[in-house]
Amino acid sequence: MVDFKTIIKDFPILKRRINENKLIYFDNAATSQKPKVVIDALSNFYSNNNANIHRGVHTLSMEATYLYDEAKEKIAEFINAPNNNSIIFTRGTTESLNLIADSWGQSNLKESDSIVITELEHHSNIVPWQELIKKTKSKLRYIPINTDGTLNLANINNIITKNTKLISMTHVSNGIGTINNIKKIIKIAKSVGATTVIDAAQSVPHMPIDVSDLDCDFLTFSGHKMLAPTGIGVLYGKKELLESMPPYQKGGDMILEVTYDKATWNEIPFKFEAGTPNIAGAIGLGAATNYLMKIGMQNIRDHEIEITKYAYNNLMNVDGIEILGPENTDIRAGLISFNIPNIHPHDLGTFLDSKGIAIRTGHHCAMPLIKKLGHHSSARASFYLYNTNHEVDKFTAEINNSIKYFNNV
Amino acid sequence: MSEKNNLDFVYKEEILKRSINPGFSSELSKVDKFISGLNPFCGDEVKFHFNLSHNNITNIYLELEGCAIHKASSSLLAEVILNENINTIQKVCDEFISFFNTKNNSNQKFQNHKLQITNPIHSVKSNQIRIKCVLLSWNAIYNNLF
Repeated sequence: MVDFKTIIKDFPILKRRINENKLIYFDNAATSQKPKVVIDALSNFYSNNNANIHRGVHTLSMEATYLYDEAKEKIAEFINAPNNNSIIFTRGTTESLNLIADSWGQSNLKESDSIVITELEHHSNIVPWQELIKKTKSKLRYIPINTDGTLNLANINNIITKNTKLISMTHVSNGIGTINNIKKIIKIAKSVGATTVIDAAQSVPHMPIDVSDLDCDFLTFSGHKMLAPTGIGVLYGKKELLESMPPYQKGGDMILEVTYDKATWNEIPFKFEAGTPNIAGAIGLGAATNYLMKIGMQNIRDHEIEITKYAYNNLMNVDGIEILGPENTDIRAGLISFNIPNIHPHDLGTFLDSKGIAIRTGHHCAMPLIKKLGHHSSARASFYLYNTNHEVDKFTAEINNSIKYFNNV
Repeated sequence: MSEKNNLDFVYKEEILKRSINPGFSSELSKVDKFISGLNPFCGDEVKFHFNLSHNNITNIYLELEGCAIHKASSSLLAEVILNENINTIQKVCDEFISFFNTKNNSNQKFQNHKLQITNPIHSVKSNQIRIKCVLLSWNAIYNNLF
């Protein structure tokens, strides 16, 4: 049994006071805070082991290489990837998706083909495909959503057809929290022979993910949303697919042999990790993964279900509030996007900040989704393992205070 | 106000009142000049519809979407430039934008006396992230009126 009340002690930043109030950090979908073990891993690496990897024969280089490779092994174990070489380190989810679009997309798509995404996507899972179809003259099709922010699969057989070559979809909507039934879509994709990409930026940090069980072809996520540093992320890909793809960037480390006339490519994962990678970031991600595995991803998911139910029920009592996305926490991740009448989300965000509460406001890099749901922006509270129901009480009370503040002019 | 705290520094009562009623809400039967602005990071949006006579702004219709600071600032801008010649407006906007983009000039006096009505919004300068809310409309006019 994990005592989540003590977890807060692992995060030095959560001792901070903001505007004379104890910090309540509800902006975890944007980025998570870092436990001391991750901060120490970075500090230890730079204090004791710093060197470039894979090339040097000296002790520090061997230590740095060992730590980097160990982090990769840990991540493969974390998502149950069958092969360590299927884990490519990138800058984050955005770079992982761009890598797939540029490398796989440009060499596999032709004019009669289509790419299918959903109306729930983050800009990073829309724009790379919009650009790709310009180059390949292929088509981009969307799985629509219902008014509650769940996918409308009524016409799915007309959207995913024999012309569909790629389906790229988010597991969890960063804008409104919907958890998609990706297993079902992957199965449909396989029935037409389409390649599958799962944007797991908002799910890998919060719930158990098993790529072998999902049987997806690619899965992408970011370190910074799962307690690790910024600037490090992951592309998981099936080995045979990664081996068949051309490199994304060219340079050091990704080559096998170079002459003045030409070059041949190294094997995976090196083929996709040109140049000196974010070594410290990878080691930090390894430490974060270790920390999360010790707590247990199902425990974290259960904790977030509890806090999300509590927050949802509390917020429903706020006058006039409109909560976006599904009510059922079986299909809602630990985030709640909402609007309060006559208070713009930015103004609510500034009000809550004056009380020490950090939330996200705006369109959450999901402009088409927020517009489709009839809004220009929303306020978003997103939870993680260190948040508590007590914090939700204070949050709800301050939302009610903001209504008084802005309406008593 | 129901409570007083450091928020009142950002949301002065006059700013909140103006954000609720920014004015300039009558649509124009014909539009001589249209200028819009959008902050892609937050979705704040402004649409200015102008009537011009001999390069003077004779009427303004304002469409606003966004936060209180953006709405109030846009309303103040409309009030400042109404009845002004478009050849003078760039200088007025430049003076206001420079005030927000220059550090340590809180006591600066504006050369254009009409800018004095913007005083209640000057304290937003202390909140770095919200300066863009103040300046969206001013930048749109500065960059597009000529």
